[in-house]
Amino acid sequence: MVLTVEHLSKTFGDVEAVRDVSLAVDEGEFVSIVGPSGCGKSTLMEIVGGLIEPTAGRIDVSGMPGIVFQQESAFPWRTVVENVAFGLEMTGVGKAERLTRARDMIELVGLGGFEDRYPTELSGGMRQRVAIARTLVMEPKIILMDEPFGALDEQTRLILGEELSRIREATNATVLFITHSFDEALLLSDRIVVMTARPGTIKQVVVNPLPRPRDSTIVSDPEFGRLSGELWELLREESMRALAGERGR
Amino acid sequence: MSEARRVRATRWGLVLAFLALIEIIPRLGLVNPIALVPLSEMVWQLWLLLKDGTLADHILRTLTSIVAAGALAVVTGLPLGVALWRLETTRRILQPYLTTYYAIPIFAFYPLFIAIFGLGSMPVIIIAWAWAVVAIVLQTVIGLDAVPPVLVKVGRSLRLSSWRMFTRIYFPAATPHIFTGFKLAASYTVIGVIASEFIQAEKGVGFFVGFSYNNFAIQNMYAAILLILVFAVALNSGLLALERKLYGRQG
Amino acid sequence: MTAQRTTILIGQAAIPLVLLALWQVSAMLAGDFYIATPADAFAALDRDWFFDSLGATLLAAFVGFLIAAAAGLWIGVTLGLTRFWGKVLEPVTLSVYSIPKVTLFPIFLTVFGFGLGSKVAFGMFHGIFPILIIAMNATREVNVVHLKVARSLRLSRTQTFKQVIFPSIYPSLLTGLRLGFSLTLLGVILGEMFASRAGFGYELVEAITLHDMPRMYGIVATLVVIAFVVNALLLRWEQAASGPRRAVAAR
Ligand SMILES: Nc1ncnc2c1ncn2[C@@H]1O[C@H](COP(=O)(O)OP(=O)(O)OP(=O)(O)O)[C@@H](O)[C@H]1O
Ligand SMILES: [Mg+2]
Repeated sequence: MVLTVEHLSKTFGDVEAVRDVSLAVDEGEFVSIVGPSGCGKSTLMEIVGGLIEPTAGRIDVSGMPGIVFQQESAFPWRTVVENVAFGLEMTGVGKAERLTRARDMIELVGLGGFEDRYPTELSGGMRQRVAIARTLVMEPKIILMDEPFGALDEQTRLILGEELSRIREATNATVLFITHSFDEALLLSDRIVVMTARPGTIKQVVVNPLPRPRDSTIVSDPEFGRLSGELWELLREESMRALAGERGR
Repeated sequence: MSEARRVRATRWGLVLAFLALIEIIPRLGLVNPIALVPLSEMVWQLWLLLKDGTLADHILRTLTSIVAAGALAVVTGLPLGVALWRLETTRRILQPYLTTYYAIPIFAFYPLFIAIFGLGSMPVIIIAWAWAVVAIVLQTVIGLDAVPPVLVKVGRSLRLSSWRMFTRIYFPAATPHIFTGFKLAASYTVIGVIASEFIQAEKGVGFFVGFSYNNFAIQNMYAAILLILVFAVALNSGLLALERKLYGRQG
Repeated sequence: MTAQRTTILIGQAAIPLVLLALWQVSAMLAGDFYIATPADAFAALDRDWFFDSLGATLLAAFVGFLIAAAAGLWIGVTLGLTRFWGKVLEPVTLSVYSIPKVTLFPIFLTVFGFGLGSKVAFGMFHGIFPILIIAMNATREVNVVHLKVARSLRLSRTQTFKQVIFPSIYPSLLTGLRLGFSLTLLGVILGEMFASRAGFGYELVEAITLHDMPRMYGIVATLVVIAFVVNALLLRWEQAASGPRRAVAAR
């Protein structure tokens, strides 16, 4: 197992964000997490990433996870290549090597030719690819991605999703991926974890039977539609509860 | 809520600890007694000076100068700010000079004004006005510039006359910034008046501090410094509180 | 468009000339007992003392500024990072910023003695506040996601400061440094006026005592030019740092 989480809980003051979550992720596996807004997905991920301490429970991660954040995180004062090389620079990788590795990674995420641009000169999708490349170049054993394509339109998401699949096959990374999009989850994952409304617990884990390799044309497959419906069935009730909870507050 | 209270408690704790130090250090003889007097003696001395009327004339002079310079800064600063906002070209010509304005060591000009107008209120008021007015001008321009275009569109859609556009849309929308200008101008006026008096004058609380120092009347000096600090801090906090009350909810 | 740009450039270049002309005319109207002409003022800048004073004032300002910059940056960033202490101390720093600091000069004189020490300390005391306050506010506004990136890579405190905080606050910090330098210079000149045998502040007081009008005007004009040039250079740097590339910063 690359990642084991046991009976994890997190409470912020009087807000119980995550309750008793247990999860194990195998090497090379792609696991998606879906759940209503505010159910504690980002919190779970930040605990796994070691950014916040859990209130209770145990986590066992191999190596230092790489994280792609929900919000834009490319440094505006660094060019694309400098952004991507950042982590390597910080861990003391020599200049020549880190630039080579950064350039390769930039090529891999499809940003070739933009190495010397600043983030403000790129589109939102391109900036997010910079953040992804900055994480991937560290070759982490496990990558945590928090709605990395959340701010993008549906088409761009699917295309970037395909690219992510391709990159993952090339690097054989383990991914824990948060998303609101069933299409994205079904296109990318081996397993999909459905969470309940806050306090977030695991409602069900759906194993994705769709054969690999997949590409974005799979969305028109009838089996895809059936699975999507199944996920919605599971989530509908939770989302309504989450909304009712918001109103009640 | 409880955090806000903890913050306030800590802040007051620190301030009180500082005041206690001023009381205790000279009492323990840790510093030369002619260098620092205990806080209680400063307060007592200030009380005596106020009671026997020694300070009355000085306070009156200082307050008059502050009010005169402040009023002058408002009366001249607002129209200048509005004019500058309207006159695009003039403003762009003046831009680099206005940004540099506060870099000029204004008090160096004070002797020049004394030479022209003689020792008295006049040079003090001129310096304080000159130091304060530009803050109002700049904040007025910034405020009028920052009026959200959508509000202007609302006014246009109602076919408001340009006078009404200004009085009903631009000016009210800009008041939070303009108030900031007033607040800055108030502390600059106080600084301008008291500092000028300290440098050279025949009357005023600032003058009294320097005069006492030169005549080794250390208790009087600290009493006057205390009065100045309390006044400046109270004025500033008062305006800050007023600003929060008036515009806090407008963000 | 181009015509307007030309007008603006010509206008900007004309301003110093206009000021000079105004000075000349006022001098002619008022007579040389009150106002020295620009030519007399320039002639009065005697080689004997001019460069000595320039050196003394700039040295003190530079040393005071370096200390103010280092200390202001350090304290400002620390307060910006520790929310609680930032909240506790922010109003305190703002209050100290708004008081007439000159009146505290006797205290500096007592602590640091006559000469270089007290004027450097006094300059620093003037200059540190804008740097500290701006550094604190800019640090508070560092994008939290960027800080999370730093933590996800397990960066040390120094690395986080160098790689994330410093680049984020850099443009604002330059503004703080620019304001800080101007105030440091002001503090040094004031210090020289009261407690020094060197520098422009001292020469100015000498000139006042002797009613040497040309020298007074020469010194004030020199100070204005120094303040303006340094400020313009720092402003350039500042504008280059917040150029269009970074204009749409991450937030
Ligand atoms: N630092 C914090 N302090 C207090 N409460 C927090 C903090 N971080 C998160 N929360 C609360 O915990 C709950 C879960 O937040 P989280 O960001 O993990 O949700 P999420 O599932 O990622 O939502 P979304 O899908 O909208 O991104 C929310 O109610 C949120 O208000
Ligand atoms: Mg989230």
